[in-house]
Amino acid sequence: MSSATERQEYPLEREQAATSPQWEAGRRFRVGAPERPVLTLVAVILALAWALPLLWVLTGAFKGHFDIVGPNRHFLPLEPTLQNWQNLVDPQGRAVSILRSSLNSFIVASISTAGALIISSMAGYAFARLPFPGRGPLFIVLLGTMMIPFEVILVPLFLQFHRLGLLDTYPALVLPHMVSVLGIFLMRQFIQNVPRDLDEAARIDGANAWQIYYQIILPLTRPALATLAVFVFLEAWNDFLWPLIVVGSPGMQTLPLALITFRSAYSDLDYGTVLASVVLAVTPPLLFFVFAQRLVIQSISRAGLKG
Amino acid sequence: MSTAEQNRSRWPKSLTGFLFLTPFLVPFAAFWLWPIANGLYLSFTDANMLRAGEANAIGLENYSQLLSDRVYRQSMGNTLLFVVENVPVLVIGGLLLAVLLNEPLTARAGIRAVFVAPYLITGSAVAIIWQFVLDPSTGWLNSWLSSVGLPIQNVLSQPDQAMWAVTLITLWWRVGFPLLVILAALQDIPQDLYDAAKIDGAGAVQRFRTITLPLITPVLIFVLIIRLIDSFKVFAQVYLVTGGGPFGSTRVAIQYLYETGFLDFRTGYAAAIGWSVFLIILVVTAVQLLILRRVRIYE
Repeated sequence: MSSATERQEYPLEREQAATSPQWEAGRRFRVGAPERPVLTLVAVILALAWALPLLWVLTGAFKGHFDIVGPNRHFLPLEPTLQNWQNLVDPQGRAVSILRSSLNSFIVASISTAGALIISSMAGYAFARLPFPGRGPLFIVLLGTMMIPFEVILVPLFLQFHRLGLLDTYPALVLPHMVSVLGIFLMRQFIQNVPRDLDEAARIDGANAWQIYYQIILPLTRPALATLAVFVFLEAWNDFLWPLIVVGSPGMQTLPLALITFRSAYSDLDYGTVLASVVLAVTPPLLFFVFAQRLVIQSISRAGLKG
Repeated sequence: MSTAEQNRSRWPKSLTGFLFLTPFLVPFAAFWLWPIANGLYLSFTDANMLRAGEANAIGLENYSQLLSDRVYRQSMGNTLLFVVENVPVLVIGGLLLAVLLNEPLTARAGIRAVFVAPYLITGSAVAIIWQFVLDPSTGWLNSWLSSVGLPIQNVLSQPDQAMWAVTLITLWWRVGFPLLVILAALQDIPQDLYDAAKIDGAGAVQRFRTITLPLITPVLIFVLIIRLIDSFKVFAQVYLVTGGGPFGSTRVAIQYLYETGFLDFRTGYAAAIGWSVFLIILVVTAVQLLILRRVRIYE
């Protein structure tokens, strides 16, 4: 638990903490506040109800078809089977490959994230530190476009990729996620809080703008970069509408699309296989959440700004 | 920049700024600004994807056609219904959960994580998970209901119930955001205020009404507006769970946009649908801000 005095030495961290929810906020209570057994019970029952659909899917992924849809079924798999997972890996001639779509999802989400981090931090640095004519008006234009929902440009954006001959390619899946106005907004705000003395000192030592960006700003803005990375990765990993429109061939499907393909291919014969594909698609983000709760929670709270 | 000399001294510096912006400006212009402008233009034409390059300007005809388009009116009505059901359910649900999870509970961090977890799941997985729960013949909900002697429900095939089912699915999926933001606001309230109120003899309800609620009102308004905008753009969970049915009773605006633009190829008309959704979002958000501002003045 970080104490108040510790925080004061790191203005950046304090800024970050002030605008994000404290995940484990025991410090807000008087030390030794008694725990509430009845409320805990209520909360646990609610949490179980919340987790139940996910647990059903998880156990279902290890059941045979009739143990899932038949009349005499049980919550736990009485005869656990790995057949569903085998179906996923070896689709027996069906045009769906979970391995391929998992790979696609990883490629798309990773490249989107890397691109968004580079583009947003460079632009954020320019808006925060480098004077150029029209900087203020341009930033206002950016904020204005943030209000326009992605759905509004769905059709013209599709036409643009069509014109460029990029439909059904990785660039089509990646490029829209790289251009993150929210990311620039976030980075600009964070960089403005970096003490100017640091870049002034570096400038006197003869550093140019690139060196200041690369050697001073980037390392100091790591918390903001991490928040943005989680945000962009999750968005790209979970995106459904845009891939639905630009992906044509089965080989380019990302996981959210592949799940729907699996649903139509298997739901009548092997419901367990559909459920296994769901487990596969939701496990990476959930696992990441387990290991980096604070970071994910900051990202979710920031994501709201996108509207 | 009046003289050449000033030009020389100022230009390199601003050039640096533009260089740092270029990796953003190029894709931003190509994949945001241009589509915005082009979409606005297309919405005033009869552009069709099957007749590439043959768009004729038809003025406001698309927009006037929207007003009399039965399917558009139905899907916009459904969207409004979803907004009206979904926004209060998520904001109040998030508030109640946040208040509960702000209490000193055992294993509080773990319990909180359970409510946030669905937020990280893709929409198509959410759809499959809930079909698995709600399916009338093979779903878990019904086998559970019948085992305790309750009548079997087929919520997804009842026009008046299907949208509520979607609303509850959305609550399960998206409550993490209001929960986290409101929780953060609750934790920023100094404990001393509650201690002082307790000494003055204020009960739990009174403390909530006079301390908690006024102090988190700005955050509640923020969450309300974000949820409102988000709800107007609802698509995946509806399209994949109900397909817009039964009888179009859950078809929402974005689904109609998708069908018009990418299944019927009526590009111009689809662009007009998109802009109409944006205009409605703008108007509703503005009206809401005005009303809420007035309410807060009287407090």
